[in-house]
Amino acid sequence: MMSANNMQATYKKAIRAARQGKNEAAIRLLTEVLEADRENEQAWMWMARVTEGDPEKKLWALNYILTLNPENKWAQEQIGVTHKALAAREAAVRAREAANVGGGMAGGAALAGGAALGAVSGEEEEAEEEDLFYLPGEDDWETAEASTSDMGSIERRRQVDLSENLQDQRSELSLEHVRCPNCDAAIELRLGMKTKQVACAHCDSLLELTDDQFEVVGKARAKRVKPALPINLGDWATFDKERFQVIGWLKYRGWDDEDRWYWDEWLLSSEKGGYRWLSYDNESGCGMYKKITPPGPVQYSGMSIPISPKRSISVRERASAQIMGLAGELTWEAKIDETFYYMEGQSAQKKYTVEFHNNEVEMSEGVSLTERELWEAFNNKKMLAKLDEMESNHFFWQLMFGILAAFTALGFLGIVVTFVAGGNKLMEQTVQVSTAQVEVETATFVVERPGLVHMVSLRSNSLPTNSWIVVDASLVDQNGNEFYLFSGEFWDEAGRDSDGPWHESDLSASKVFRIDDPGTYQLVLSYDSANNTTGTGVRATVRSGVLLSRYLLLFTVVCGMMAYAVYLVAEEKPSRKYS
Amino acid sequence: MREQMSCPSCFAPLEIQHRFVKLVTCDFCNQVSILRDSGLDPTGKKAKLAQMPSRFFVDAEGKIGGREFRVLGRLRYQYDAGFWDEWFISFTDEEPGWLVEDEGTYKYYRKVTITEKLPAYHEIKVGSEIRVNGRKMFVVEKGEARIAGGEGQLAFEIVPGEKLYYVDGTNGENLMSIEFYEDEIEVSLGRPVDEDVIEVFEDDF
Repeated sequence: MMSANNMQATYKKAIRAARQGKNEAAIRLLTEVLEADRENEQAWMWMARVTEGDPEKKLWALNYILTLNPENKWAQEQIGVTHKALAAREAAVRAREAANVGGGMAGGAALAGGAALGAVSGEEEEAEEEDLFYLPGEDDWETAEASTSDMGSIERRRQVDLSENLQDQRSELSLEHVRCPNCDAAIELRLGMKTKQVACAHCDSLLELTDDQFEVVGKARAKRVKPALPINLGDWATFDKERFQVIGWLKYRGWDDEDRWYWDEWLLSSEKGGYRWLSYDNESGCGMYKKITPPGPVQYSGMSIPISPKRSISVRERASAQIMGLAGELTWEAKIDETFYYMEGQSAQKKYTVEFHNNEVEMSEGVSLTERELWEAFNNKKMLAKLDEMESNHFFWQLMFGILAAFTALGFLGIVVTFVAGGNKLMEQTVQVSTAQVEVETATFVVERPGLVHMVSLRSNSLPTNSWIVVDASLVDQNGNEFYLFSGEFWDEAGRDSDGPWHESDLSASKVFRIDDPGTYQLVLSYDSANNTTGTGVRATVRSGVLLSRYLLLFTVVCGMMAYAVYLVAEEKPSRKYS
Repeated sequence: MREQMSCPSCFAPLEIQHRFVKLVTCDFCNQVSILRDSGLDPTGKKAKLAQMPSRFFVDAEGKIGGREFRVLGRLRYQYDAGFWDEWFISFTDEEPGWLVEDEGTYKYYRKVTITEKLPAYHEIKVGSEIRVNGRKMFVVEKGEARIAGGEGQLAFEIVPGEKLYYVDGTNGENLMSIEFYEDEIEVSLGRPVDEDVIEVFEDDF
């Protein structure tokens, strides 16, 4: 026997269950109360309330209330309402039976197998009907818990009824589906009555909830713009152990004097009833935001954003924006193409956005998400595999960049060494070449390692202004064989133009060559031609083991260009490839 | 204070749960009645609400920042951009307050006496600062709303369908809400409540 205190506690618990829509639990608890006190009129009233989805049970409870208190006005009124609901459902059952009979006749004209199938269907129908019209007797409340297992099917039937007659029912019950007033397609409402705006995925109509019904207010443009990430309406994600469902999506366009950019936002609804905004753009990646109240005055023309009563952060970006298109459900009326202003800032840990609308200043606080965190939250294995592949590719390109950068650095080093070291000096001598001494032989030098690259450098040490002279250089081996190497042209010019006097000269020339045989050699310098001079002193230098700086230069430039190209590939964000 | 009464419409029993209660919605017929000295006066309005997912419900008990509370009623407002719910709560020391739930964020408000003249609704601009009870408040939102419905027991006489103008603001430490009704202006001061500090006791059903 339940004590009075226990009964009161169970009764209160039953009411709390009823208020939370946990009808099965409420029925079970009320059954316990009524088993202890069958004349508890209020408990019977709650029982009638929580069996609203089952008109037979509700009717039974209402009748029992009237046996306890024939004056109970609510029970009297509800009996009429429930009878109407029951009649409507019976009419629906009859209509379905009539439809089945038509189907059976068609089946009878077909194969015998069809008739057997019809028999099975008939049995199922009978079984369902028997269950539907099960009435708990006065002693049967113990079985009420088990019999509530059919509540789910009743709930489903109720949803179908709702979609068929939205306007009559919406003030009574939470919605699950509506029909698009434009194309009649079924639209699922994940938020029920919380939905203020919804886009029809079939005809792209933008529907707005007015006092009584959804009205077409424009086009959602969901077919003209696409999300940048593969996040779909209805997808589930878990952030910080809280599960969220994607219920809406918006594409924004932002602009300032110099640039134009786009970003996506998804509205996520948590199982607890909270909301978050998932934002993504190519430049700053993903962020998870929630709305906060501005902790202080904030102006669009200001230089800072208050993030607490005593702290502000600098504005990093300030721009105009518009909504380009949307899909799914929103808890507010998004105005497509209406311009608003926003600014953004960032502290060490968090990101902040302030939007300035006509009648509202909205502030949001968020955190950055890496793409791995994002796809792990959505448990999107395909995108995680793709991310793995991208990161693997990214590592390869980073390695390539490292190698090419190292080669480039080596090339630069080689060029420096070429200029600083310049090889082993074999001979250096200054001789006078002139019209009076047309051909001059230098001192001999010994070539011990013929495979090395050698270089002859000539430098004129004196040349009159506005003159030039050409000196030919040849190499003579120990057998008297002469090999022409090159002609060095030295010149010195001066003059005056609109910028004033000028003076230019080129007094050096060089040539690299390779000697095939070891031995003793000497240079022969010959006067070739000249203007305004009869000769010049020439310092001749021969070096061995000289690096080919122009090949090194070419090598370095090619490596550098390739390194830059690879750098661009390596630094490209993997996410850009999604869009 | 727990006073037993009956719904004037369907005669279902009603228990008045707080001394500040002025409006009662019947659990069964949804009749909205005003609590007067003479008893419950039916307004003729019904206020059944569509249930939305929420942590709260009428009769829910829990803690906010360590203080135990109980939900007595709920008022739903409809405005240009959707709906918001205000939960009428009572702490164990009987302090009444409003917990505003809007798009998953929570704010706790307490009604205060107006101590100085307020600017008229149409003079208030979003983004400007106004003086409320000696404090400068930055206006973050204004608009028109109507009472969409309610349930449970509430602390003022507002019936479904009634229109109002609202202004929301902040001064960094406090939130401010002004509601302009046809024959009354109400000012509430509050603060944002982090959802993590809200605990709703869960029954083991």
